[in-house]
Amino acid sequence: MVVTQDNLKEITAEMPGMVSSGQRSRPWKRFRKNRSSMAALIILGIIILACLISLPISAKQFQQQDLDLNRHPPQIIDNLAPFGYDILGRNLLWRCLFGGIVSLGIGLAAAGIALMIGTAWGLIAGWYGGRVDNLMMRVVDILYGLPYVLLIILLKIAFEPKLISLLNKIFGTGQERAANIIILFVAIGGVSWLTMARVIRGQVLSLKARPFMEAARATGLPTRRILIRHLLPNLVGPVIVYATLTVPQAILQESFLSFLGIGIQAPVPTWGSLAAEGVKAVNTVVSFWWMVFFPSLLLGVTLLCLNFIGDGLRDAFDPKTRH
Amino acid sequence: MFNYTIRRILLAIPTLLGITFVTFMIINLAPGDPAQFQTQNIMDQEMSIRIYEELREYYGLDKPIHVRYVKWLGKLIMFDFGIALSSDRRPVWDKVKERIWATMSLAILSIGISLSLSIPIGIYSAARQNKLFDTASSTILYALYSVPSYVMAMPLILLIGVQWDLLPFQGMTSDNYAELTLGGKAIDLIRHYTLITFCFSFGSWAYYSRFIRQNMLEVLRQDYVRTARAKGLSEVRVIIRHAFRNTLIPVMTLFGMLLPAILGGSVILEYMFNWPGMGRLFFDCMISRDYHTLMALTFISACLVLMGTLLSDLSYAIVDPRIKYD
Repeated sequence: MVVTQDNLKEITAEMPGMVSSGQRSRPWKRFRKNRSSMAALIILGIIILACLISLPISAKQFQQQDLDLNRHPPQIIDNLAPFGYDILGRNLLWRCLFGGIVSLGIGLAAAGIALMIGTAWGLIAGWYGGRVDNLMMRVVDILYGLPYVLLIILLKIAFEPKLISLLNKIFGTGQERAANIIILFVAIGGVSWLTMARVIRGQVLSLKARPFMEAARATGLPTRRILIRHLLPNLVGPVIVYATLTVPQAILQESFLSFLGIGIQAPVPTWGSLAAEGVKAVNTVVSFWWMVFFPSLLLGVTLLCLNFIGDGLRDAFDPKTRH
Repeated sequence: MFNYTIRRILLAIPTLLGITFVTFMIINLAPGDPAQFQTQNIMDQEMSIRIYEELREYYGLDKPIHVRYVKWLGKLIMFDFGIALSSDRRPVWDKVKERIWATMSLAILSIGISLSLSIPIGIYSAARQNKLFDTASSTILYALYSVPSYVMAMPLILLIGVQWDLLPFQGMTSDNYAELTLGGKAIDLIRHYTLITFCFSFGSWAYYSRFIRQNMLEVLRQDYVRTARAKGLSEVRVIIRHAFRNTLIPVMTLFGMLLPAILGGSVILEYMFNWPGMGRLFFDCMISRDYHTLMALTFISACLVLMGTLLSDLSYAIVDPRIKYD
């Protein structure tokens, strides 16, 4: 059976029923004991909830300008602006909350792409081995060797105008912003699946040599059943761990691109672009510290939480590190 | 082992060809070219078009793309990266060569500092797993990891560089560098390297120390560690002599992964600290569409990536006699 993206979804959908409940809850129990990871999960949950709940307001307010209030420090009494105002007099509270949605969206999109393409790619390469494996891993090597900033810039230059005109044809004019975001999602996601593919391939190769796989083959099980019942459940651990660790990496990558001016375009904010704007606004004479501090704080805390969760998941899924 | 190495090197050739081919196609098919970039500021339209056409011919951009790629490959075999497609028209290798020292010294210095910090932290965290030191160090290091380098660099430049005027933050040397004595030169260099080296390395501390910790935890569960303890060896001796030496295998693979970073540089930090590094060269060439320099930089980094993976695979077999390649 060939695992394609389509039926991989089908396979993963069947999975929870396949692994017995006892097996499934063990990592979760171990994860719950990890206090720092649980704390990180709760803090991350609060940040995501805040961004989501405020979305109806922040989506309208994030580009609302009041030039009289430009560079105004944080205040609560006159206006609700605990994060202060930016150079154009936009309320940073709403910009940070809306930017959170975009930043987290980029992270999730990258993780999703890594999850689907990376897992399928690694699974096929590792399972079929030989020439297929060689060819598929060479493709990964080539993509790994390409300079990644170059790839993103050129993807943008080459496909953005085309995508804009395509979107304009379908949804009417003014789709530049959507096109920019889609290109960035795809560009960051397009480089994020490589690690996942390598990890999954390595796992499949080592699992294939285990006695239980041999036993499964010896009993004459069809390939499809071996893949679904015996191989995939054993891959859940690394897949979840690496997907989690992809999220902070993608968010951080977007922030670097923002600093170089090739990230998500203004006025749509991301935590990275807000921090980059702030860094550029700060000078030696007057420090507009709030413009850097609040976006960086949100970005930093979110990345910290995601890394702690990823770390906790790795400990929970890896039986070797049990203590 | 020897055969394996030869086969891997031979396999690397098509991969390298693939990388250079894809990059060549992408940068050449993207809108804009070096001739256009160099003529965009000429006001007189007729003149601009004429120079543009002449430049295109001079750079050979009027030929079909596959012809240009084959020509570029032909030169590469003779180790000739060609002439930069920028207004100075210097040989690409000269432009790259003058950046190598600044980039490499910075990268090696930061990797050295990172490892000498992370290895002890990783070992100690593993020895006292989930105790105070483990939790505290991982929290602090992950917090550092979560700060983008430009956010960290800005306050450092403003406070240490400007406000308190403690350390220089522009370039590699002071203006009066040539007049300084030998000792003075050394101190001047150290002062210039301090801030950028810190900004360059702090993000990786978490990664390395967690990597060491992870591998130490695995080794500490092995039977021979239990045996060593049972023999009554001191804990320090068990950890250092018996456990840590066995984690050197994964550490070797880490070195392989670090190889491409040695010449990678960092665009953002090089701009902020006015550092003459490869990251900036790459970015500037990308903006000005200097195809030849871009290809040279891509080729060098691709070689390092492939060499890194090969070295880390081989180092497995060298350090661990149980692993055999044939």
